[in-house]
Amino acid sequence: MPTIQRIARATRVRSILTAIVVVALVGACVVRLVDIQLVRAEALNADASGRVGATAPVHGTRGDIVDANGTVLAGTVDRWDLTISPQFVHDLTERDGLEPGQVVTGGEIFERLAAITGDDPLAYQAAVDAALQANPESDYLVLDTGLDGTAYQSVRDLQDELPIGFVTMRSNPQRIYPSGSVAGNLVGFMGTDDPLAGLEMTEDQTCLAPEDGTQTFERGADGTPIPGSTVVTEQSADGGTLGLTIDADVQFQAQQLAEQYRQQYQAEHANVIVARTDGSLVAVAETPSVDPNDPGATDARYRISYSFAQGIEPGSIFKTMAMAAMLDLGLVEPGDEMTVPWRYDPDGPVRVQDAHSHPDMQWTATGAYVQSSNVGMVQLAQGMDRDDYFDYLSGFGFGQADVGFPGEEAFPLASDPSGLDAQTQLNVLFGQGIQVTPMQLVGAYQAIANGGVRQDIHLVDSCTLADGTVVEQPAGDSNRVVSEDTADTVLRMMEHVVTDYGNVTFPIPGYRVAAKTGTAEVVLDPSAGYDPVQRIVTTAGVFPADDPQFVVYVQLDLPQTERTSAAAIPLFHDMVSVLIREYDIPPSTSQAPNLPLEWTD
Amino acid sequence: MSALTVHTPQQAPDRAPEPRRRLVALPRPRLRRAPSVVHGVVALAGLGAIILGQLAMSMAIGEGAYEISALQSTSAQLSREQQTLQERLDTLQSPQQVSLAAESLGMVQGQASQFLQLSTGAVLGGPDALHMQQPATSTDGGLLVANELVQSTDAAPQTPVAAEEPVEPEPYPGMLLPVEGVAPAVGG
Repeated sequence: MPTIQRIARATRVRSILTAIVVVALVGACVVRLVDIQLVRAEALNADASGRVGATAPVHGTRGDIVDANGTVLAGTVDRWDLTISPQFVHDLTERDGLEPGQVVTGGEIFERLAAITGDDPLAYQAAVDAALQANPESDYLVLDTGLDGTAYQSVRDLQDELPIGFVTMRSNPQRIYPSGSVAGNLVGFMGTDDPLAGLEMTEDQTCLAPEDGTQTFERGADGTPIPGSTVVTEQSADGGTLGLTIDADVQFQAQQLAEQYRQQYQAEHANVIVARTDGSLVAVAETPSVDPNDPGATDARYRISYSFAQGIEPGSIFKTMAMAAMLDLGLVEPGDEMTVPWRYDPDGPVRVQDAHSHPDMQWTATGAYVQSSNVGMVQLAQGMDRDDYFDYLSGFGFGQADVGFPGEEAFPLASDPSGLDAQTQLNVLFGQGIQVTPMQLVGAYQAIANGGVRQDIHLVDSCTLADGTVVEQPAGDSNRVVSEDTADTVLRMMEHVVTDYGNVTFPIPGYRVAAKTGTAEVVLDPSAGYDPVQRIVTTAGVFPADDPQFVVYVQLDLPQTERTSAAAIPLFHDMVSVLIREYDIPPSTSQAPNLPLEWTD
Repeated sequence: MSALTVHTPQQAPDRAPEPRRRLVALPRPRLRRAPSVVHGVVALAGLGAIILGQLAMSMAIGEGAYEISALQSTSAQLSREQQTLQERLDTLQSPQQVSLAAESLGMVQGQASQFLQLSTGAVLGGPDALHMQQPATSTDGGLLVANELVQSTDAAPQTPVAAEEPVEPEPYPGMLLPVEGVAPAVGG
């Protein structure tokens, strides 16, 4: 009997002890769990994330920029940076899984890498040594950037061959411009990370820029990502495709012509602008022009689009606007007869004279315009209130910036035209004493070509988002500047400039072309006034004159071998011919106008 | 009767008659027969089969994962290759490259289209020729319209083609070229 009792007691003690031990263990675990999961969670996580898991960005692709026909002007390509973890660089031996006795030294690894990238292996060695000197635990060093797909594959092959986990490739997409400087002035270019010029900059946030995502992965002791551990924690989103109204073919030919004529006349620079009658731009050629693949090769002042930024005193090309205003106000008829001397020198402080001396001419208003007579314009405009004139100029778009292009200038018009001095009041009739951009001139001629209605100049057509949604660019403002009748009359007068100005290269047989030339004086040294010899020569025109489709504007700055508009006319002629050939425009079948230019008693 | 208390024996309470006990010999506990070897074998075999099955399955899944991984890496490699080639193609079809190649083959700019006016039957010529030939390179040998990609990529070797004598095309029905001796009429 006592034995049984003893056994029973022992059993009880044992089970109590067991229970106590179990409860204590569970309790300890719970305490530890709470401690780790709740109390010290943040500190531990922060501690761990650097050691095991790593976070890397997932790059979205920046959107392309394409022309009206889908030709890619700017695209994104994958490029890689070659990076190395200096603290883990070592000679590879048997311990790294090589054959017994086989040794691959660090120097050999550098040589192999440099053979792929074309760099100097000694430079790699020096960079790694320098990094280790600065920080013995240095874990990140960029050896080379911008490796293309071929080089990437070669490094991958090398990684398969040798256990070099300390060499990693980091994706770093880059921008390329397959057509080079074709529309480079419009497209702009990128810096290391951010857009620096052109549409790359203005349309960055509205269309092109992608949204980067993030991914995390775990890495081994030597920094190698562990395969299969990558988790994308945030999806990236690609940028949209920006569609322009530009036609790259025409743009290329315009740039070719501009550069050829610039060289022929030894001009400082040349530009050619082609717009459709709805205000959309076909080509904005400037030369010299930036090649966005290598912006540094171009002089800094030519890395912008000066069609938007350059301020010129337009000269005679501006008489079209003055004539349109006077016709629309009913002050002038094309056939008005007048006697025009070559100088206008009334009593008082003002004086105006024509470019060349001539006897008193019996010109009609059309004749004075075709002969580009400053005196004739002053005589015609005697009854015109300058406030009215400036209202028209504002309607033609002067003093405004439509496009919002980087560097685009507005050059506000004088706020009190009647308060201008007497000489300037006369000079603004033939484009002096007023500053405008080439693009504003294109906008004004576009109003004439479009039946008197000016539409905002634009060069972006649409943005196609990554999911295929097409976001059309909102149509700009349109406003009626002059009546349709006035626009028609001005066009007919401009046609006489082409046929009767006396320049044989001006007309294009079979086609009705309307245009006006300008030979503008320039101020090169502000203290010296107008330069006595240097000129900016221009021609702006509309064609076909019977059914306007295009506005063409050409400009040569400071040509040396020919300093009159005779230097701009051949460029204008060739540009119009290119458009006819490119768009297969049939010859005009209607009769050219026949306005009287002179009168007899 | 005497005063003697008569001790009457207490009646024993009634007892239910005891059921007759039957004494039966306990059946001899049958000794549990040791589990037969077959059962053990079956159970172990089943366990083994399950383990093996699971192993095989996870191997298959693992194999699949490796295959997926290998295919994904091949696909990534191919798309890199495709992109590299596309890049080269884009550069090759840039206008600068095309005009360089065309010139090295002795090609020149084509003529503008000619137009047939149905009402009069006249052939209307396009514009007169440009004053410039629009070559790809300027007289100093540089590209007129710069493109760093073209200058840095060696142009695909252009086998110089012996300049062929221009061959007068045989007239054929419907050809738009003016018949010899008849100048194209110009409209307008």
